[in-house]
Order: sequence, then C-alpha cells, then structure tokens
Amino acid sequence: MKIIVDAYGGDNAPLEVLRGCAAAVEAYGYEIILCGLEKSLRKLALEYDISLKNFTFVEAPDVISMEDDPGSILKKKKNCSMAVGLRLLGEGGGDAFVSGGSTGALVVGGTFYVKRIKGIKRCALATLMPSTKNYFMLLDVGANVDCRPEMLRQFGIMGSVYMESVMGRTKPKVGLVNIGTETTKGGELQLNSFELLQQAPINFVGNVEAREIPYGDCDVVVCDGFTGNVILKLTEGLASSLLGQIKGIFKRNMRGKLAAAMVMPGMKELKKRMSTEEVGGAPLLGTSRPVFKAHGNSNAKAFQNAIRVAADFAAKGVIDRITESLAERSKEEQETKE
Amino acid sequence: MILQKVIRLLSDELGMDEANIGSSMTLEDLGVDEMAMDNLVMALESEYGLEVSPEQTDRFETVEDLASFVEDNLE
Repeated sequence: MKIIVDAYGGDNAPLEVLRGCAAAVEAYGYEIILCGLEKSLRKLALEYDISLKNFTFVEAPDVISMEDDPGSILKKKKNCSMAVGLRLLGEGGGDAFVSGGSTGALVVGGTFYVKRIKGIKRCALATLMPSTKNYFMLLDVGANVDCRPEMLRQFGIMGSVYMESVMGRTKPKVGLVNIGTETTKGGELQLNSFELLQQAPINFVGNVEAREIPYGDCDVVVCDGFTGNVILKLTEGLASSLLGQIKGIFKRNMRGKLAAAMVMPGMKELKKRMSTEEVGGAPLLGTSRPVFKAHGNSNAKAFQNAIRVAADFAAKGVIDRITESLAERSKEEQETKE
Repeated sequence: MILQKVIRLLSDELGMDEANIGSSMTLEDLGVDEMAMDNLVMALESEYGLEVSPEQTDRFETVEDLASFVEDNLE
C-alpha cells in the first residue's frame, strides 16, 4: 500500500509528519511517498534519528499556508507539497493521500486534481466523532457552505457506505440535522433534503436535533457545511471547556484531589476517546481516489493513525462501493419512476 | 442575479463551493479547461437561449466577463 503524504501540512510539520510516517511503516509496512524538499527532510530525519525505510520522496518546493487563499492551490501555489501530492494521487501514483494542511485548499485541490466520482455534485468533508455509544460520522463539516438538497442526499449515501464498509455498521442509521424532529421543521433546504433522503435507499431515520447528536443514535449525521462546521467546533470547544472545569473541581481541595485519584483511569479513557489523535484523519468523500485530512495540530501518533485509516479506506474499496451505490440507486429510482 | 447564476453554473461544473468563486477570479485560476468551458457554454445556452461562438469564449477572462456577456446578450 503506497500512501502519499504532504510533508508540510500541519502546525507540527514536518517533524511530526516524518515521525508519524516512520511509525506507520514500522507498524503496518506501508510505503510512504513524501512530498517536500528531499534534502532538508533527510537532514531532519537524520538529526532526529527517524528511519526512512520504505520512503520515497517527490520534490515539492513550495508550501500552502492556512493564510493563503484556498484557490491558490490551482495556480500560484500549484507546486506546493499538497498540490504535488494530490496531482500524483490523481495520476495513480499512490493509493491514498494524507495532509494536515489547509482544509480549504485540500477541498479545492482534491476536487480539481483528483476529480470527483462520476455523478457526485460536491465532495464533502466528513469527520468521525465520539458519542455515548460509539463513533458517528458528521458530514459535511465545512467543504460546502451552501448546499442544495441533492448534495445532502449524496452526503447521506456516501456516509452510509463509509460506515458500512469501513466501520462495519449494519444498515447505518442516517439522520438529517434540523431544529426539530417533526417533518415540517426547518427551512427549504431541510424540507427538500428530507424528502430526497427518505426516497434514497439508505436507512434514513429522519430529523435529528443538535442536542441528540452526541448520544449516537445515528451512525451518519447529514447537514450543510456551515452547520457542520459550527457543530464540530462547538463540540470541540465544549468538550475542552467541560473537561477543564471538571479538572478545576478536582483540584479545588483535598477531597477533590482524592476523588480525582479514584476516577483517574475513567477520565483518561474519556479523554482518549475525545481526542482527535485516535481517529487520526477525516475523509474528503466524493473524490475518485482517497483523500484524508489530518487535524491541523496532529502529532506523530495522529499522523500515524491518519495514514492507517487512509490505507484502510483504500484497501476496502470504499470508493468503488460508493460509485456502485450511486449507480444502483440511480437505476432503482429510474425503475421506480417507470 | 445573473452573476450569481453564472457562479452557480461554475460551481456545479467544477464541483467547488460557490463561496470559493469570486467575480474577479479568472477562469484560468479556477481551473476551467476546454471541456469545462464547453460544458459551461452548453449550460449557458440552455439556461438563457444564447448562442456562444468559440471566438467569444476566448474573450472570457474572469467570472465577471462571463456574467457581463450573458447580460449584454439577453433578449
């Protein structure tokens, strides 16, 4: 399995990227194709005693930063490590691509250089989030600020295929984010999307209110990119704030400290579940070959896991299944109409 | 309105979010290649009943140019 990696994507790149890649090679035996400046990357690896076994380098003299306009990946920054990696993936030079860099640039670049699965209107950035029960997928979390109903329908199908193929869920439950569970709730987008999702041959369970999402009754939660981004960031902020407040309570006095010692194993387990490290990467669903976004502040462990999930995605043929699923659903709908 | 519609058509053709398409962006910057331009022209012809010649498409530099062309040629 050949995984193409952006050497300069992320706050802790390239050192943590190198470490994560080396760890992935060690653990799973992958081949890494690292996009960046070979000479300086080799020097860094030597300095930090990082093995470059199974590494190949592809020269990429530029970097696209979080401050750069995402569209600049098509022209001004077309030789950045992200663009070089995406182009290589689009040309069939690897099995998947991973980057911790600019999300906007990854979406634009992924759509342009890797191309969409035939029939897909828009690619969606999906993320796995922990719930009371298990992980669930939320999409779109920011690739598409404005959406149309057909896009949400396709997001539902792609999310369902992913959760079934990769996460092993049987008949994944798909819910639509709304301001109420009643079928009359929401604006035009929600009302029309509800109808399309209901007709799509997925296990659509209806509208889901934001407060119900964390309980994990749905395996896939569908919304437009604006809403998804708000949900994602609010969840991250709330989790961090609550954990911080709980920590404060434990530190307040001796009784709190004693209590902390008793619940420490449980708290560590909770913190691990909430951490983005374990999940590693979020797929950009809808591209014709696997593209994964690692969290911007990923450390080596997170990069290792991002590479692992990307490889898993590629190995399980998820994109072929999405393609078949879309074609099958179009055929079924055609037959229903006739 | 026409500019918004043109942006939507571009967004559909390119698979890009409308929010990422500015009126002053060049078609080249957006990665509009020959095939995408052909599809775009067909969409404009279908939407507005226009006829667009290849020579006219050569003059489209920016998104705004495209929208202005449609406005100027609407009956």
